[in-house]
Amino acid sequence: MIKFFKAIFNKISFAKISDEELVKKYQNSSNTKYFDILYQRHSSKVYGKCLSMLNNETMSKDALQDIFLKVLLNISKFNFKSKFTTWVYSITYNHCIDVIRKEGKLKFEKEEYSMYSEKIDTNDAIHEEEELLKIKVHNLEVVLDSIPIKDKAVLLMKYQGGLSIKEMCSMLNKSESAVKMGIKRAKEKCIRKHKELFK
Amino acid sequence: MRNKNNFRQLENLKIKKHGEAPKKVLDNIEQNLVFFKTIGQTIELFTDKFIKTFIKMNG
Repeated sequence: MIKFFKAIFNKISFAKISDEELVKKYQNSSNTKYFDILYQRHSSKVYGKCLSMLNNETMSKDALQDIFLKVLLNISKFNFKSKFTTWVYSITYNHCIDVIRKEGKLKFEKEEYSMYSEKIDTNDAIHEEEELLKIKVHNLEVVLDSIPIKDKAVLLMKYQGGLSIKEMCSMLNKSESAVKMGIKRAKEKCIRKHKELFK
Repeated sequence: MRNKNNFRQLENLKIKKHGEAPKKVLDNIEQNLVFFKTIGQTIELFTDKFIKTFIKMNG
């Protein structure tokens, strides 16, 4: 009961403080109450992302715990170059990819998108994006589960996590053109699958 | 990017379906942190004692 009131009190008294300020306060004081607020603010989103990636409640709960433990252990290294949420989402997607990789479901073969000299047509890209974002939510869930996990991962990073191309480059350790090509291919597969299944 | 795109709606749908993030997780994380701190302090103490003994023995 006391914990519940403490949580409510924290929520009200820290409502106007940004995530980055809370991180700074935690870095300076190591007081876990600042971390608790960050957890209260972002745990549901992180959990949702884990569920989207892993499709399994137990695995997602374990992942959530591991991710926030990683956040806590690395928070002193957070350098304020990106938003706190972007940093946390990067850890989230990286962790989920690791989990899937360990489960043996994902093989990041040495398929390097940069090898392809194919150029991305901006008009096509915009058109594909519009088409992708028009897919109904329930259909999208089915479609995402039927495309390769690495394609699902890049689409979730971009459209659910809101990560920029640069952030994805450093996360996936790939060049900008490789990431762009990866997104393009994933979008194409998603749209194709949607047509196959629902049209 | 749209604010409420279908990908984010999917995320919200998953949360609705499976429930909010479990609060127990936070307690576990903090317990883990205490564990790591204890381990860290133990190692620090052991290293310190080891170095002191080593210096003592080797002049």
